[in-house]
Amino acid sequence: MTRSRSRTGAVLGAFLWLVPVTAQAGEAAREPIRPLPPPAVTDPLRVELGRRLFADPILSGDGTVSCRSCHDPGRGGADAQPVAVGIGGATGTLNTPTVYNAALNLAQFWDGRARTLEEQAGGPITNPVEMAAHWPDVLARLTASPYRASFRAAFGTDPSADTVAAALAEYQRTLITTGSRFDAWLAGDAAAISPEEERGYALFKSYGCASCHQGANVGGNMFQRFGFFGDPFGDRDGERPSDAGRFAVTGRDADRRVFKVPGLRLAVLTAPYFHDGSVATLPEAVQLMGRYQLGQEIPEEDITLIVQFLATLPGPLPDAGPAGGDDP
Amino acid sequence: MNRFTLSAGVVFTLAVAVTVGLLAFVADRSTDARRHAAALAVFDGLVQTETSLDRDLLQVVAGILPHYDPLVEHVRGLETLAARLPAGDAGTAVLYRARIDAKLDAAERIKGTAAFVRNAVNYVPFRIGRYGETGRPEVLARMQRALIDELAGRPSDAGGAVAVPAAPADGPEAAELAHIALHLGTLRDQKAELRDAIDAYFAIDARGVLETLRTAYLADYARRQWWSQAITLVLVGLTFLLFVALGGSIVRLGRAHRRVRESEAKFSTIFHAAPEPVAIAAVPDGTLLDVNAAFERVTGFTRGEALGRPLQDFAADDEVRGLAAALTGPAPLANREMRLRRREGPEFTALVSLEAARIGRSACCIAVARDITDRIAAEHGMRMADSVFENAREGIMITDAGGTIERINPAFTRITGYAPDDVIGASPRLLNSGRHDRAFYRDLWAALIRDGHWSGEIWNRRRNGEIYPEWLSISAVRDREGRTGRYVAVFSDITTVKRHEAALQHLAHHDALTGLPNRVLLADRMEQAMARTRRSGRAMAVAYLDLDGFKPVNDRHGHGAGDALLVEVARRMAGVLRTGDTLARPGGDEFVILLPDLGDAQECAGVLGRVLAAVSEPVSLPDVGTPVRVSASIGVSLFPDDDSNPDTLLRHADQAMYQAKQAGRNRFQFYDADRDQRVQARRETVAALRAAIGAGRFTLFYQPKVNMRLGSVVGAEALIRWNHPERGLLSPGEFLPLIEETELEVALGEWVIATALAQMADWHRRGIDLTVSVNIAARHLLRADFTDRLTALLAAHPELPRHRLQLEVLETAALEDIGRARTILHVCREMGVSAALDDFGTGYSSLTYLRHLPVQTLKIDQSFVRNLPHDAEDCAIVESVIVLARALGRTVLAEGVESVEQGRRLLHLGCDLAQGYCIARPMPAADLPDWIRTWQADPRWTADDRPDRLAG
Repeated sequence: MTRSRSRTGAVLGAFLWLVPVTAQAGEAAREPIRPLPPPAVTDPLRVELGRRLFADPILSGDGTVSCRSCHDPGRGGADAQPVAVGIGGATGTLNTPTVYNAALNLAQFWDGRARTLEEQAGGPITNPVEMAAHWPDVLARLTASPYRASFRAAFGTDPSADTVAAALAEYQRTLITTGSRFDAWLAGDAAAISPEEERGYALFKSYGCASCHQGANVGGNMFQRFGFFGDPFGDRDGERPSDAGRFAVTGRDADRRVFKVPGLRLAVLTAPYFHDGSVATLPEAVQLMGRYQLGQEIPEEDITLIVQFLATLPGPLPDAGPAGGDDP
Repeated sequence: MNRFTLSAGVVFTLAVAVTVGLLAFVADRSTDARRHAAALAVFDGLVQTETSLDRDLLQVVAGILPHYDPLVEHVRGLETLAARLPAGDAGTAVLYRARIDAKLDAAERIKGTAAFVRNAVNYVPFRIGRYGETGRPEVLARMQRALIDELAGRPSDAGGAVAVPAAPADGPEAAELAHIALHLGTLRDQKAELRDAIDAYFAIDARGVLETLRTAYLADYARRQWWSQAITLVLVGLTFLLFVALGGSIVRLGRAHRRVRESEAKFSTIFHAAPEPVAIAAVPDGTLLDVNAAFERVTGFTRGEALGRPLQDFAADDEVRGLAAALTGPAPLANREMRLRRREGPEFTALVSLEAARIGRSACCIAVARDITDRIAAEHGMRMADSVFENAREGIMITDAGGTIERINPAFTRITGYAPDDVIGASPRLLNSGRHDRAFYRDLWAALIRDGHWSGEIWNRRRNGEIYPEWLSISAVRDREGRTGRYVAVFSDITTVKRHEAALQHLAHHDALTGLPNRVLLADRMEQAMARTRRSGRAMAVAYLDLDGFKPVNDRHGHGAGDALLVEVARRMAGVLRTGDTLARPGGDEFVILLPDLGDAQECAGVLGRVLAAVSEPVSLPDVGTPVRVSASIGVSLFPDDDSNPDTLLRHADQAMYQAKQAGRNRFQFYDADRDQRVQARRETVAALRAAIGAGRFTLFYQPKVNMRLGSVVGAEALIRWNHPERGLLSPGEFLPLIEETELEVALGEWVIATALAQMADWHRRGIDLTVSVNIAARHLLRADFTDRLTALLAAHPELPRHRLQLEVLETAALEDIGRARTILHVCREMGVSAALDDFGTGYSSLTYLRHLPVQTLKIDQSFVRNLPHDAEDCAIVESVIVLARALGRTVLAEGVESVEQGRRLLHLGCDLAQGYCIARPMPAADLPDWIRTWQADPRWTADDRPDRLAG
């Protein structure tokens, strides 16, 4: 079996679909999933400062929680919890997304309320159930610490909310998990993945998963309504405020239950799943996705193959060394 | 000045402010230009990014782009750029952002919908394919047909529901077919939705708004640009005007400052130039604030030492109190005589005045002290002069300017016999002896008025009528303006002196025994006679006479008898001589007779015969019984046949006298016959020379004279050459001695002058004006008609400036007859012709003689120059000559300079002018113009840096 479509329908569909632009037929062979671009380090001083801040609880209200507490490289850049647990054990309402490859997302947070990493960075720091800090306190602490010199070196100014966010964002832009087996296969190394994994990828496309989960981050570059077929929240236990999705940002009815399509690069590492962390395992998530998004009940064996394919997506995790554990 | 300072300050501040403003404005403009470029880039970027988004969305819709990553990038780009839109048309910008937001929303809708469409496009064939593996073929075909219709956009049935073949109402097949139908429906719905979304997306006109925005922005920018340029122009103009004003202020400020400085300098100069010591002291403590130069000079304290000390410090101990009182008291001090102190040396007396004054806000006083030490000394001097006047041995008479006697001293009375009462108010004429004529007194007064003094011998008459000689010295006493106020006459009675002098005079010149001229007077007479003879062209005989047999008379009868004999013989000889002949007794029994004015040698024979006869007559002597007889032997030399000096003539005559004695006494003998031969040879040479003049065998060479320091040619010396037919070109040294003291020498000299003048005239016509010197022999110069002849020669070339001709006279020649030489050269100088003293230093001239000789140039003899610079003695001589020349105001020129080093040494010693082989050898006249054109002084001369430049 090759990557070219063997099935008649697929060939037919593709053919018909592409009639208006046959001139670009060669481009049609391109895969929906692209290799991860290597991170572009623009400013090593800021990256290094961001790396230290990311791991430092100095940014939290009581000095107990750092960014890294929840975005743990040891846990795929997330926290393995259904919903985030912040300062003093406070819990949030949403599942922690991975910090890896976040730079590639079209927006941050499930509802996409932050357009950039910089906008996002301030959110958890001041969120009462996450790091529960106040900027004046944080900045006073930073200014009184050796960080001040680092800020002056990196930005030429004393610490400020903007520079803290900028340093963190600059650091996160380096957290790209290049070097996966799948990217090697995309680059032409046919032996990089097994036939089963390749078949899983074909199913991933055939079932239509790749319509939304595409691009370098296998998702993250669009919004989509959750529950195109059926009513996932009704099937769960009824709709909660956190299920409003992008409506909370835009206030438009059309945006109810619309969420950012999460990237699946590290999906195999970041259970539990969905915005509310309500799904514990990946096969279960694939199954529910098939049901609510594709209107299909994907057979067990196909789910297994798809999950096998998903396991080829992660590359080595930057900064996931021994220091990747809990904060001091 | 303050006003200027203020206005300059204001203008300066304004200029700086405006300049800073201008610079800031210009800087702002450049920032503005960068902002403009950025804004244009934003506009362009927005258009491009929007276009890219449009394109990629279409590709997504067309299924060409299987993922959305580029869309994310475009969206980010649009957002970023939109945020950077230039401020300006806020309303339109808001509208544009809203449009973009709407577009992005629409894009999101396309993305979501397209994903569903893609799902269906992928999934429906996949599911149909699966059904085909087990299902009914006709159903499969229908479903495939329905799918193709759907994909091709053809409605398969009017009801809109997907036509699904009838099938058992339940069971797996029915569920499967229902599922496919559901997804086909979804496909259709989502395709419709996608079309809507695409329509909605492209219905949003963001680009038009952007164009409006860009147009508005560009218009705004152009307007700002215009204003900005206008403001720049205004600022530049303003800056220029301000700087012009500033420059004006600075100039005015400088002028004002200079005026103040000049004024201050003026007053400071007056203060310091004041001849009296002036000090400014603070009141009442007397602290010195300033002192002038006279103060420093008189007290010996420098200004630095004096300032800050109290004025009282400068008063002598017993005066301090008085000065302090004057400082504090109300009344100023006026001309009080005080003893003041110097830094070193004795105290001095001064007239001190204090004047209260204010300088600025402080009270002070100005102290002026007039040093009257000199006045006191003058009084002392006057007393001393009085005592001299009273006690002098010389008579002193003081008259007023009109000659009326004002005062006499006791010596006057003693000498003349006149008491003061007799003469005061009278004229000195009462002393007149009557011995001097009117002209004498006229000359006396003329000298007195011209020179201010007269001194000399004068005969006056005493009160008792006695006439006596006195040495009188009269001085005119002149006031500062040069007007004669009075005359002072000092005289001493020289009666005794005169008497002694006359006796001595006679003794010095006469033989005491016979009263005949002695050897001294003889020499004088001989000189005169020779000069006369030369002038007359006749001959003179010098006879040397010795008495034969005198010694036995002397031995036998004693000296008394001998002396009586000599007196008698002398008397007899004098009796037989002609008027104008001279009989002298140089000593012993020898006599000399000068016989001038002879036609030839034989003419003297008669006279000498008479003399022999007179001498041989018997002589009766007192106290001697029998008369004695003596005879005479006479030797004769003839002048000018024997053209020698007096001594030689005498010596020759003496020799001839011995010949006469040898020949038997009582006879006379002429001197030496064999010299005729020499005279003959000389005559031949002279004849050849004379012929050479006529044949044009003489020529003049010219040796340049230069100023070594300036590198200029100052003249040339004409040097005669004899182009001898056999011996070639002869230098003057080879033929001039042969014709020394002859007429030919004079003729040749005249030829030289004439030829040199003709040559100078030739050069003059060709634009070369050169001072040419010619050598003049002593005999030539001293001729009576020299100046007349010279005048005639010069008259032949009236176009030549006379000062171009210079006469070079040998020092030794000039000394032969200094008085005459002086007169002639003086006349020459009156004519404009200058003179140089040649071979200077060889004649041992005395300073006095030189001073009176009107020569302009001294030529240092080459015998001294030759050994420069190594011979210390010659160096010293040359230096002395140079110093002497300078002292006499004469130009000095070195002859025979043969090396550059000699030139350097001469320059160093102060002699700039030179001639010699080192500069140029004598050359034909034709070569000289070219030589002048090309000659350059040795650089070591012109570069020479002499520390003390003497007048050359």
